[in-house]
Amino acid sequence: MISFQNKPLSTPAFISAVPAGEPKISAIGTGAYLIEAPGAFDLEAQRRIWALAHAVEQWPEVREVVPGVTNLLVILKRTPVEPEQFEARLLSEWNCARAIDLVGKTVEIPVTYGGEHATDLAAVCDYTRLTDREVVQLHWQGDYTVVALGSAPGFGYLHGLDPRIHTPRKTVPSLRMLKGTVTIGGMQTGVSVLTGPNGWNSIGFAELPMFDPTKSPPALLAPGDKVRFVPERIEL
Amino acid sequence: MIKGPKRKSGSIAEQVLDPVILGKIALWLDEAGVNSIEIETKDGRLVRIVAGAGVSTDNTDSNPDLSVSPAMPVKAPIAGHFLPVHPARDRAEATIGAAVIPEQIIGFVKIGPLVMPVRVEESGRLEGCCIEPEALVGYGDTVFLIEP
Amino acid sequence: MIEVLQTGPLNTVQDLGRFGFRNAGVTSSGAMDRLALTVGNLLVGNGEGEAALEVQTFPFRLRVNRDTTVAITGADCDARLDGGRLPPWWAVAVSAGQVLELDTPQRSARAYLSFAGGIDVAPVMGSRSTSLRGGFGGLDGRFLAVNDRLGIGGAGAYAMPPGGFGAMPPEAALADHFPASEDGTLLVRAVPAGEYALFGGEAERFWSQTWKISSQSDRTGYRLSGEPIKLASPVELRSHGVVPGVVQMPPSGEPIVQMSDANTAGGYPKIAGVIDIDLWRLGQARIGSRLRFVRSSVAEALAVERAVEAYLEDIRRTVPMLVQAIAVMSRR
Repeated sequence: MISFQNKPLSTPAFISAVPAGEPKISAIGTGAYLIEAPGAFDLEAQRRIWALAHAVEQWPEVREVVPGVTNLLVILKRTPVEPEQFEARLLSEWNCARAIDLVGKTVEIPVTYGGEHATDLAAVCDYTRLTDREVVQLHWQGDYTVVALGSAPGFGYLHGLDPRIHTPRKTVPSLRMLKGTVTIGGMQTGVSVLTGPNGWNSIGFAELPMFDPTKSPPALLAPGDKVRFVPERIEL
Repeated sequence: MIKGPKRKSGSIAEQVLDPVILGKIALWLDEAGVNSIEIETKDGRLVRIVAGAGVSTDNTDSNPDLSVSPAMPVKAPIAGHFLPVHPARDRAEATIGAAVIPEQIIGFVKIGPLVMPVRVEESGRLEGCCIEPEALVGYGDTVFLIEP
Repeated sequence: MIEVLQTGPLNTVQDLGRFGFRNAGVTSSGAMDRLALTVGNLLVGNGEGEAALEVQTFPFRLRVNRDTTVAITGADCDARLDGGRLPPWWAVAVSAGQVLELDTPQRSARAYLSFAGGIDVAPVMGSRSTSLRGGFGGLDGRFLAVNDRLGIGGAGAYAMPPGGFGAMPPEAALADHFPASEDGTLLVRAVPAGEYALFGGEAERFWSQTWKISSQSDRTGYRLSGEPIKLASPVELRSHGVVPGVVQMPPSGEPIVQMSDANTAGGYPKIAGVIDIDLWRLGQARIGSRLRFVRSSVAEALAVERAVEAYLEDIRRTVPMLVQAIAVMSRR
């Protein structure tokens, strides 16, 4: 029906970084502005985005803010009468934003590595030239930070994956990957939150619900949280 | 400016003459581009509400009935602009010569941003339309004629 | 209480949307044609954000099990109440036991059924909208099925004039502000977005060509088909938040316009963004129909927004007056 509904999470081959210096501000339609931090990805830039998000979401004309990976989408309540003025305010807020370290909680996610849901573990081994044991160990030994939530309810983009197991996303996505699948996509990792098409590489499975619409907040993870994967079982 | 009996609660005539209601109706007529409407009260008085100006009452029934056709009239439910075709449609709800039945909607009166139905009361054949598209009609004006 | 007698898939409970959770990956959902939903609510005396039924698969048939008032707005589906024809953009009193039927519309895609008091489903995260993807909101997070029963809210029904009354459809009332093309192609106004410049001379064809809405289109987004517009070298961006109306250009070179159930994050280059006030028109565009993007500006969007707001304000003010005047006249 809808092939792009669950578009593989982006870890593209060619990432266009905003050159060092000024951030880039652009509009999406008439009610949303995207501000992208300059330079390469690093947690420092991410922390500054979080600081900006905290400041901007207090502005009366702002309906919501969506922190992304070193960028921030600002959604307004109504079309601004003076868009240039709004962009200028956003820029000056960025310029005085000090990186903040969100004091997040630490979430432990029990994982079954390998087994029936780890359909891409062999491909990750091939690509990384490591054994399955090594891949799994490098994965659970990592200290991860939730950079942003998005793409699906409660999905957290995790930063901190050991470069030795960075694996590009698949050219042909799995059509029906189960919710709870532990995946690697490029330099990021995460736990899928919806059953459906997914282009990341599956290496394990986690039972822990990442999203519950009846809870407040509904998402288990929040930006700035630390995540540890706990190997509950390893089926290799 | 209001003439007529003092306000008491209850009777229809008095409600029609409620200055608040009259004021609202007059304002809304003005916005609809309608000059005036006449409302006949139960006791035979005629209330003429003039857009933006106010109201006058007349104790004589001075409203001439122009409909002398043997056909049954279908009357405008309110004052406004007559629309033979719904603004979202290409075709009229009923064509001349068609059989029509009670409660069937065969035309519309536009009043500001709203649309009121012109409805058939008795079965028959739609004989003709008496009003030009977009023309102003008054409350109770004959819009269509139906041959019983 | 209303009871669904006949329905296809993808008909859902929707309101104006769920806001404040995009940063948790939760799409806003909400009516594809927010203007039709708003007018429907105003006609039955509701607050504009009450939940209604969004019907996009026909035929659709329901029975009301109590006296109430219903408004049908959006696509003209030749609605019938116990067999009697109702005009489009219409509100009418209905009695317990009456059956309302909607047929496949000739133009436009979606109809809205607003009931006095609104559809009474539990709000989830501040909204009654159905999130099909998330599986929550609306009726158990799913689309309607035959035999479903839905409660309707408080007794707040207007005393309706006999035969009911309607609103001027926005296409007619606001024709000057939503221009139509001569050949029937939908004109959708948009402003260039973040990566517009990367498309260089190619970008001109984005505006000049006529795009067709492909069958792979739904509440999440519309995939358009036409002459591809490609970048010299492929680019993807770091994952960032997106909103309904964003026009993304995937490597295929055929645009995707995100709609009410838009993904919350994306990484494709953005060539343009549809102005918010034109989204309802896109929401009524049918699969297989054609559209052209017209380059617009914030200033133009503001002018159109003001006109739409004046139209709504006019309805908001006039409905109670009309109902009151009719009540007075009918008591003669």
